[in-house]
Amino acid sequence: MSNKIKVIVQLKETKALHNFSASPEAAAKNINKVVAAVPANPLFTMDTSFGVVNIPAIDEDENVAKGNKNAAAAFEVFSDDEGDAADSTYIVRGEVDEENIIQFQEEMLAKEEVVGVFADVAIEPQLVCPGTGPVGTHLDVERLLCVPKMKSKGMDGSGVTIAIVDTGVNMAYLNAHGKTPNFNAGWSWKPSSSAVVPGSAPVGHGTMCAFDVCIAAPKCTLLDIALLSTNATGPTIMSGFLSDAVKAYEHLINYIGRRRRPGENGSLVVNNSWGMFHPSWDFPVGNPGNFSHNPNHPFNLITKKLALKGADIIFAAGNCGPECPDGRCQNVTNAGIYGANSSRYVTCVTGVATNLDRVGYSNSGPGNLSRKKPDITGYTHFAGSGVYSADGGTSAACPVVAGVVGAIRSKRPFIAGSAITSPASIRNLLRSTANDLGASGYDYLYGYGVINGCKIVKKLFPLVFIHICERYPHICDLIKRDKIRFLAFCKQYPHLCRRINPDKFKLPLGADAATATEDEADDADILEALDAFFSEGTATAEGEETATSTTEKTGGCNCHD
Amino acid sequence: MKNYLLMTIKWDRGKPINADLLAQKLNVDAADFDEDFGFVSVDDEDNIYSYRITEEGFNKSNIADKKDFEGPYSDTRIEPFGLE
Repeated sequence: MSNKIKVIVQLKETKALHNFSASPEAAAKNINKVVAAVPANPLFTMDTSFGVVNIPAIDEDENVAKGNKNAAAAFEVFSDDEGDAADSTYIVRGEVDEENIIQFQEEMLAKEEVVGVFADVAIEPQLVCPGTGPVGTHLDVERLLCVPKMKSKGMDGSGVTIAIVDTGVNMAYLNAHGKTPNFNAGWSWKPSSSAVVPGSAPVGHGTMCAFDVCIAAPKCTLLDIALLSTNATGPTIMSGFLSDAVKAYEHLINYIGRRRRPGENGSLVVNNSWGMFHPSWDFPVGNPGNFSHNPNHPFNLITKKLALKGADIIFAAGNCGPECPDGRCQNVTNAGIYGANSSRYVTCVTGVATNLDRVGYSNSGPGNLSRKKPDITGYTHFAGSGVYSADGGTSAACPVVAGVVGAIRSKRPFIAGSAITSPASIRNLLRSTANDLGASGYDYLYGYGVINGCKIVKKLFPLVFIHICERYPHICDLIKRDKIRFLAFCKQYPHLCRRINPDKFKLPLGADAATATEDEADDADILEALDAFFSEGTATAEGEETATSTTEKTGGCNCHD
Repeated sequence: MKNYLLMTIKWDRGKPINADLLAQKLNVDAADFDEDFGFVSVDDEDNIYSYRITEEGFNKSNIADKKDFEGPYSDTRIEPFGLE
């Protein structure tokens, strides 16, 4: 069967083409007439859904000559149906069999009414590839993640442990580059064959990951799990084996099960910016010892075990995307996401640049263990740690997301037995707040979309509507009586009134109409201040009562009649 | 350097697993197991442990006849997903 070539045909003006371009509705209702308005050619199958599109004439010389004439006039084709539209053209599109394309071009161009025949080339979003320079900086990532807002809510990684399972972390480098997380040397780990000192590893991939975690979780506590520093056994300086990973995870299970001080945040986030690059590294699919597709592989089992103990395990999707795969993929770009990276017990991360261009090396789904992978998209390919020209790969997207999870865990620590604090619940929070990219809804390129810190904050700290008149009935009575004083109050203390929604808080008030918005934690103070103000006292800028004379009524309400 | 194979065993015999017990069970020497790796609990529900055994030990053992023993599993190379 012959391939179809998409083509655009440019035509000289006719009254019919003009009318159909001016009224797409009319074109849609009169498809046969639209087709009849185009020079017939049996090789051409017209795309009637495209209709007819006008290409306005632009006479540059005339524009210059006319000087002040409104530029819009240069695009005006007709002043009426009889107007001069000699230079205006129209395009339609359709398909031609590849083998007939030359014949079609020749036949069409021979017709007087045809201006040109053009290829309708496929266009795609711009891709970021390994050779592309950094797109934005870590400060852009910080802004895009809504880090200031997260910080204002105490979401900064405080009390949360983030394990960097990688090549080793260099804390001195991090400190010198503005990141000052805590470091837990006692529980850091390395394989027995490694000479690396956790926390003082050579500056490399692991340090980049640690830097990127700190974008959203600057006050976290890092564990350096220097898994990929087993250069004694691996073929490259930064490699290891899955059995090392089994040991590393055993260590993390011991960490999460350690005795803790009362009230200590028990959350552990585990960043994994690594994996397998090519199926030839593994046993064949179907072999009972296979890793990529086999949930019973010991590493896949222990990953599940660590997640069920409460760890938030974040995995990079991999760098074998079809557009510009890593060389280690050996051009195998359609094998999905391998092994534990696609486990249903982990959060799998793919990448976009800070301008939302997809990074073409990102693995796309489905996952080999759980199909609906990746889960979410993180930012990558930005100037950040300075370890490389760009913090890139799904390697950087992964710790960006891990940092956000660390920030969340400051305010929603893992509590055994509590469903809303489970790793699955945090994963759902990330998914449900993501900004959809690509095809509508879930897709294998972006998962549920790009991580959105602002929406996460909103979901964790929702604005709730309260009924002022139910909670503070005397305030409504007072406002009803003394609207001027209420407005004066808001003029004097706008920050105290800023959350009161004027649309909902209609003045003058009926006793049932008053409603305001309230941030769970903050607005009780605002309302207390309002209360104080109307209670003959004054309110300070901080919303504190300074002088009041209230009469307490039964029921605990300081109401004034 | 010894070449080890990655294995699992379902072990719910009451006593904690160790190299001597397992060596006895498989007719191998305790030294055939990777002491450094030890016995890692990878699945609490099914009492599955992971261990590593030398190729030589594997070949002389009677693992193939035992139903609670699985492996060898792929001990694939893993590398960072940074850009080359």
